Amino acid sequence: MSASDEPRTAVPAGVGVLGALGVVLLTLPLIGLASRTPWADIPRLLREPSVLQAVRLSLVASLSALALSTVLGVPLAWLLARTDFPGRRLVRALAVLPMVLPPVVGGVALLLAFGRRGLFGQVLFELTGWSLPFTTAGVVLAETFVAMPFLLVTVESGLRSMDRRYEEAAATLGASRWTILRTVTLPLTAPSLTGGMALCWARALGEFGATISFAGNLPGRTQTMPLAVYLELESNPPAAYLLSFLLLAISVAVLIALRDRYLGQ
Amino acid sequence: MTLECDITLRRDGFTLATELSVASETVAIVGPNGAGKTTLLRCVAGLTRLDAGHVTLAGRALDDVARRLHVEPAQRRVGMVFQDYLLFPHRSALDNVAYGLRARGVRPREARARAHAWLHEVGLIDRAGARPGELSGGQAQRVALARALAIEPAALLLDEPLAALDVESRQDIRRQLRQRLRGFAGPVLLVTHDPVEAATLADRLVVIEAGRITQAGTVDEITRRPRSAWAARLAGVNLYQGRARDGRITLAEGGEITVAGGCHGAVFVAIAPAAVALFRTRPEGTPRNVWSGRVDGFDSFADRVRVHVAGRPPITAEITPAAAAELDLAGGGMVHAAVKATEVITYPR
Repeated sequence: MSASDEPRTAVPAGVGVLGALGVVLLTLPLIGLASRTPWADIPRLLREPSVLQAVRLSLVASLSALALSTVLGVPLAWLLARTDFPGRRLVRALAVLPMVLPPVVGGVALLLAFGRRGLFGQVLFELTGWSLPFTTAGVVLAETFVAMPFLLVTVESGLRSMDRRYEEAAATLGASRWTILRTVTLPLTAPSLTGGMALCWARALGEFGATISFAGNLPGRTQTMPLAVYLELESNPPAAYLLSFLLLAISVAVLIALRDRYLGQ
Repeated sequence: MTLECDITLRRDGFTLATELSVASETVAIVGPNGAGKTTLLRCVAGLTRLDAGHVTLAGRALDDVARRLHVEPAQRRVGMVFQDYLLFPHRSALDNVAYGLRARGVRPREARARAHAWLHEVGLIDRAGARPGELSGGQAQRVALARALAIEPAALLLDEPLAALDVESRQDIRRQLRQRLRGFAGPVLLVTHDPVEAATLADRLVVIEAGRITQAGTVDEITRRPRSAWAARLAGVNLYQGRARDGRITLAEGGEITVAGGCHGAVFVAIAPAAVALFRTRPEGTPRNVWSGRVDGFDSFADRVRVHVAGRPPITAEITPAAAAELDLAGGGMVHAAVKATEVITYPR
């Protein structure tokens, strides 16, 4: 049934007005950003060291966070979806917590765990003389902490909704568990895997609170694009606007790529 | 190569307890839905674990609960064709057929060559590159069968192989499947709820009801002496269980039947619907068995009408359309059923 076949519903007066206001609230900021982007200055701005550094660092850190999230998140998603170990529910709740936790709180928690005098960080410092805060590795850790749950939840959902009987069929044909995973499970859950990875990357790219409180704001080392925006807003607005617009463009691109899936459709 | 299984499995509200031995023949597992037929198949394939008992194929133990032995499905060499075929949607028909070979370590080129040969066998070589979504029901069924046979299994299991097909394709595919099964060297276990399918494809039938085997034998044996509600439906007779004593049988379903021959003890009682006469008023005459009941519905066919009478016991009668009209069945109401003692067949339970 196409949209034109459905009977047109009469719109109650208040609903239309409120809906229109909602649209304005959501789109006006985006329009404002696009209109203030200094299009003419883009070539010059892109050569500024602060901008260039921030873009490069953001890409490196967010892609590293994506890789780490995938390597750790996919197996965990598999365990949560396919096995029933004691404490599974607790693990799942904890794994999803960073999605709801205020990011700056996440940063403080990371500090208390991995900081120089933190639970684990102290051991690390005493053994190697190295600590995570104020390093790019720290940025990657902070971004992974906030972004991995997105990948985890999406992949777990994909694994749960997959028809397990395909795996059974593969088993009767002689495939080992690893072969089944490689040739049946992953290909059939590929859409949710790529969707989860896209969400994870977008989230990692945009992380601010956990990054600034755990890794600090050092240009070239921990000053990702969102942090640069915050810093440049006072001293160099055009640079801030450009960086903001770049982040907006990437977000839009991710949304288009996901095409409404996995975002509470 | 013989498949022997003695399977006990407890589920909620359900116990499957079956003992079965299948030589190089095709055995159809039949019975009502939910009786445990598919579960039995899954136990043989290794997809469901037994609570007690064993499964042995060609002398090799696949399951032995007492010895805590369970061979994984992948190690069993048991081919299975699933109800919805379950062809891997992301692979072509050829790759599907080759899957089992590749999984067992056969080199890609040889696997594809053998898969080609199997697709040729089932007459689908021109669809080798097609995705499962592009195949018709009958084609998907044949690819699924080729896929299971390509690994050269010691036994073959089929779960409702024709259920997903539309009526037109079913006859054709059934005929091809029968030839293929006849050509298979090992035991074949086939689950179906369709008696015609069972009769056409299998050498022997096993009737499972509520988790237990109630009857086994050829179609002929089963319909001549039905011992289960399923078999009775297949044979088209009224079937009761009762205790016989001095020519009278007390039925579990209620009421008493007088029989001609001598029988004693626990018996089955079979009455053909055509042997039942219906009257609106209580008849007087020779029939020994007359009882009343309410007309509970009827099915009209071209040349006869089957009337269901709810009484003690309930019975289905078969009468001519003219007689049905005379009786004015549409009005429902009470009727008298009459059966001659000589028309009642009994055999030990």
